[in-house]
Amino acid sequence: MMRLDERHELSNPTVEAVRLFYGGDQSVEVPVGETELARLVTGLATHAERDATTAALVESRKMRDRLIAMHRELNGARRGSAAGQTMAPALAMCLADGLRVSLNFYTRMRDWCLANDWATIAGRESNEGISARSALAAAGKTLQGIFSSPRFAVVRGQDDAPQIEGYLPAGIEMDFEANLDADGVLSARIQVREQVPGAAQAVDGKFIVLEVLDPSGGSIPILGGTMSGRHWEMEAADFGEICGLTTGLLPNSLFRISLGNAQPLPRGRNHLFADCPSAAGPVAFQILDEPRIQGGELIVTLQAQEGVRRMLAGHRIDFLVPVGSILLLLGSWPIDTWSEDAHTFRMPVPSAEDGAFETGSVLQARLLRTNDEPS
Amino acid sequence: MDADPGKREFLDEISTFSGAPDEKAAAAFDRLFAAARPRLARYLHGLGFAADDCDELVQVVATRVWAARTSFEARGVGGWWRFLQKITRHCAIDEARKHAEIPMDALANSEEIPDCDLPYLDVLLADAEDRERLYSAADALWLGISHDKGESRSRLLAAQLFYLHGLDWRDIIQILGRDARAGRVELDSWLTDESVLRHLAFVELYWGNHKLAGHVLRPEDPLSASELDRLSEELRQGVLRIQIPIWTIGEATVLLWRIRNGLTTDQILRFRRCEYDRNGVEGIVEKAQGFYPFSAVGGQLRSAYESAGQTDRLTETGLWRRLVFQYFCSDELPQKQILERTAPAAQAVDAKMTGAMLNGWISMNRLLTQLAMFLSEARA
Repeated sequence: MMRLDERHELSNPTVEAVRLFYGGDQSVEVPVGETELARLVTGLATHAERDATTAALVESRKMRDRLIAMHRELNGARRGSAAGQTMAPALAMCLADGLRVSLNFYTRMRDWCLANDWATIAGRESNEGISARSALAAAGKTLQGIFSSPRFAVVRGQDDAPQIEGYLPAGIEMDFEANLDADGVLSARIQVREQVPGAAQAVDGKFIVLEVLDPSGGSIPILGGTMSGRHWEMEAADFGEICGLTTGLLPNSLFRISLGNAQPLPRGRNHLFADCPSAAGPVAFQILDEPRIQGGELIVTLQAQEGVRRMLAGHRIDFLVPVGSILLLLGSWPIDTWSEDAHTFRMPVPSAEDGAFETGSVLQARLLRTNDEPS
Repeated sequence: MDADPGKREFLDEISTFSGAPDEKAAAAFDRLFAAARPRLARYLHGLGFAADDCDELVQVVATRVWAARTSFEARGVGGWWRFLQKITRHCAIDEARKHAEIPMDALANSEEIPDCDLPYLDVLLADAEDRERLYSAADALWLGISHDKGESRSRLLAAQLFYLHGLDWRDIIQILGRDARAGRVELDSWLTDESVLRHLAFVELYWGNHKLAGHVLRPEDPLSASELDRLSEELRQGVLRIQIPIWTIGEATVLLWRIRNGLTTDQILRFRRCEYDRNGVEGIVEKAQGFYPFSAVGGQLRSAYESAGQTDRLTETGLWRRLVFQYFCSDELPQKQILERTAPAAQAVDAKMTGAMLNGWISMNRLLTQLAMFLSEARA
């Protein structure tokens, strides 16, 4: 190729040719409305939606003003302030959509497992995937609290064996191992040992769903696949990153292996583990009645002994639910107003469908000093 | 050897057109000419032909290009365009001789692309089917932007929310959906990044033809591009439904020609629909300039950058070269109008933008030479 010279003076016809190719104001009106902005601020937007909305936002001051107003409405809702009471319909709709995924988290995750679709959860290419990722992160937060606190070292399963759900034929035993590597990949492996020759044939070809037991009740399906011979092995990329868990062997008692038809684990009497920065670890509250959404309200009944309440004097309890990629604050109460052991909290969630949380950790709680701003 | 498959395919097509047997050559010609057709029509329109006549004339050009194919030497995209432009120009001269209303001066004075320009044209037109690539190269050369479009826009949005809307860093991180702790460090680096600051200044100071026309015609609620299309149609029919309280039909018509189409006063005066003389047109333009946003935007940028100790970013020559290039190449504005859109902003931020500077950059075509060299080096 001929070397170009910076002193070269291009002729006018050449410049005109370039203008013919590249000229003309080609600004296009990007159809970005309230829904797109609401999806962006609630974190429900996929990568592609986020790019398109950002492209429109950088061109329009008016649209940025609207985005900021919506963000303030959402923050008002997060802080339970009056600004959150006057919420744009598109924003309320996005929050209701996100809450639906949180309520039905077990079912949605199981469906993905049955389709062997961890990629939907690990990726950010669908709205439901984003919400599920966020709910999984909330559950991971509970697990982090549990692991970091010796008081809650053994929450479930007294021996270090996974729970097995479904029919396990006589004459076989299962060896199970789950490891989290430095890249955050969870590798899980099941190896069948025969006590009676030929017994393993009964599980060959069986569909297995691997679930993580939720310390706050219920479980979270994460991987699904078919047993091949005596062996089952699967990987979940980004699991460590999503859940905030570090490298190493995970306790087998953290897992549930469902053979055949995976069903939600009965919730039973569970605990709500509230993150408390001023204490050594999470504070556990007994859940007296299954948290549920009913008639546009989230209803949570907790129990705390007087000693615990005294210890938490000057704190407030915040209730949060993952919606899109954010944790939405649904309500906040000073512990000092909690006069009896059992207390029922009612929080408005207009537009949300009735239902109970299939997975306990999706409902998050934190304890902050009354005047602290959340980080 | 260029490894770009799109370009290789194009070069193969022009070789086939000039050297292959008729059937294969015809197929290559159909594909090549389909891509060139709208540009040739624009070229003819620029020479003074009515839009409807251009399409017919392009068909005549197609016949002559095919007939002349044996004389064509396949020497790259620049050579191909020169071949097309030359034949089109001859067709235009023949046609103009038949019609008295076509001004012959421009045609007679028009030149051909010289041989020495072809390597530059090859580089500049190599990615012509992806228009954004040239402008991204201009961003990289004059603003120092090195990230892809999506990433650059996220950074730009963060800077707009911080410098122009005064948002707190926590709010920006939440809106951008970034992790709170890592996000703070990342945001700090973006907000002090020189290329982000230049990009922000460019986006705020650049008002393309549609945006400026929409703003001037209705400052309190600017008209969108589609509303401008509707307005243009209504003005042609003389029935105005779109509200533009501060302008009459005649004034709005002049402003669309002047601001949206970038036409000079002489060009406007040639239109039969123009109901004003030279003083009238220039009076309307002067009144419109009272609504130009450039001084105010420049002042706002200056205040925002002053508080961050970043005012130097506003006086760097790269920013102003990038603006001039955009107005010159994308909006196809004449030099005088580029100065009208840049000088008030430059004054507001204490930068220098004079007619002599513009003359050097545009008349000597230095900006395009510089960009061609940058593209050539980037490819090498």
